[in-house]
Amino acid sequence: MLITLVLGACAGETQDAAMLGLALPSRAAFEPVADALQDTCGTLDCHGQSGRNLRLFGGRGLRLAAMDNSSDGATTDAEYEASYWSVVGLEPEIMSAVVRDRGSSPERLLMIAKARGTEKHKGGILMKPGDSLDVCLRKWLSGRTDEAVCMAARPAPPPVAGREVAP
Amino acid sequence: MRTLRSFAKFSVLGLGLLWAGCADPIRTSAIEALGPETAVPIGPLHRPGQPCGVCHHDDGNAGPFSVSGTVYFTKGSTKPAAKVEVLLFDASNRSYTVRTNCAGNFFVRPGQMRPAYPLWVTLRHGGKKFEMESAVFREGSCGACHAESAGPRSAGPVFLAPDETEAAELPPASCGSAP
Repeated sequence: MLITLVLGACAGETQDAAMLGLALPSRAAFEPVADALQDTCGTLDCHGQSGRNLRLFGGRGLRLAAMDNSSDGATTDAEYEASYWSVVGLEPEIMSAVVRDRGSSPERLLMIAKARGTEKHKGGILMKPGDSLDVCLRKWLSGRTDEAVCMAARPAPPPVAGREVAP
Repeated sequence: MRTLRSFAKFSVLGLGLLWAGCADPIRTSAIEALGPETAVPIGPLHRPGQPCGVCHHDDGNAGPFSVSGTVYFTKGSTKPAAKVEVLLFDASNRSYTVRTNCAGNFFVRPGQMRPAYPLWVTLRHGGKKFEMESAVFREGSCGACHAESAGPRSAGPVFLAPDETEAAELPPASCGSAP
C-alpha cells in the first residue's frame, strides 16, 4: 500500500488515495505544518536524512534537488509534496482512521506518540499534549489547520537573558 | 596445566573474534571515508572540518567529545577562525562556552557538558554574535551536517561572518604559536 501511495505522489495521488478508501489530511493545508515540522523534526541530524522512514525535506534541511543545498533557498513545492507523502505514507490506514475521526485520539499515530515521548524516540520528547506543535498537528489531522499555531510551534531559543554568558 | 593454558588461548582467540565480529561496519566505513591523517599530527589541530564524533564518541578509540566542530572565517572560506567563542545553550538552560583554537577547531568533553537537546549555538567574536539558524537535536559533530561543501545534505562549513566586510574586522588565525 505504501508503494501505491508513493507512486500516487507522481500522478493522481488523491485519486489513488480515494481508490484505496483512504481519508488523508489536506495537502493544501500542509505547508504551515511542514514548516513547523522542518524546524522541530526535519533538521539534518534527525528526519532531514534520506535514511529515515519519516523523511522531511526543506530549505534548511534535506533538499530534494541535487543542485540545492541546505543553507540557501526556501522550501520548494516539490519538497512540500515529498514531505507530505512521507508523513501520510508512514501509517496510511491509521492516519486515515484518525482523519475520519476528525483528529481524535491522534496518539494512535507513531508520529504523534514518538514526538510526545510515549513511544521510544531517539530525538526525545518534542511536545506535550496541548503544545503548539501538538495542536498544529492535531488541527491539521482534524481538517482545521491553524497557521498561527503552527508558526508558534517553531522552536525558539532560550530567553536572551539566559544566553548571555560571560567569556 | 596444559589444558588450562589451551583454554586461556582459545578464550583470548574467541574474545578477539567476537570483538571483530561486533565492530560496527557503518562506523568503520565512516572512519575510512575520512581518509588518512595529513601532516598535522593527531591532536587538537588535526582534521579540521571533519565530523569529530566519528572517532570521538563514547565507544570510540579517541577521547569522546559531546560537541565539536570547526569554525571558518567566512562563507566559502577555508581560512580557520581562531579564538572564536562558541556559546552552547541546551534544553535544560545550561550553558557552556568554548573557544576555537588556531585551526578553528573546538571540542567539549562530556565531563564539561553533555547537552540536553535541543542545543542552540551562538558564535561570538569581538563583540559580534552570529547565531545558528536552527537548533541541534542530536548530532554533536558540527561536521556531520556542515560538511566540506554545501549540498542537498549539507549546510556547508560553519562560518563566523557571512561576508568579507564583517570578516575584515576579525584577526586572521595562525598556528604559529600554541593554540
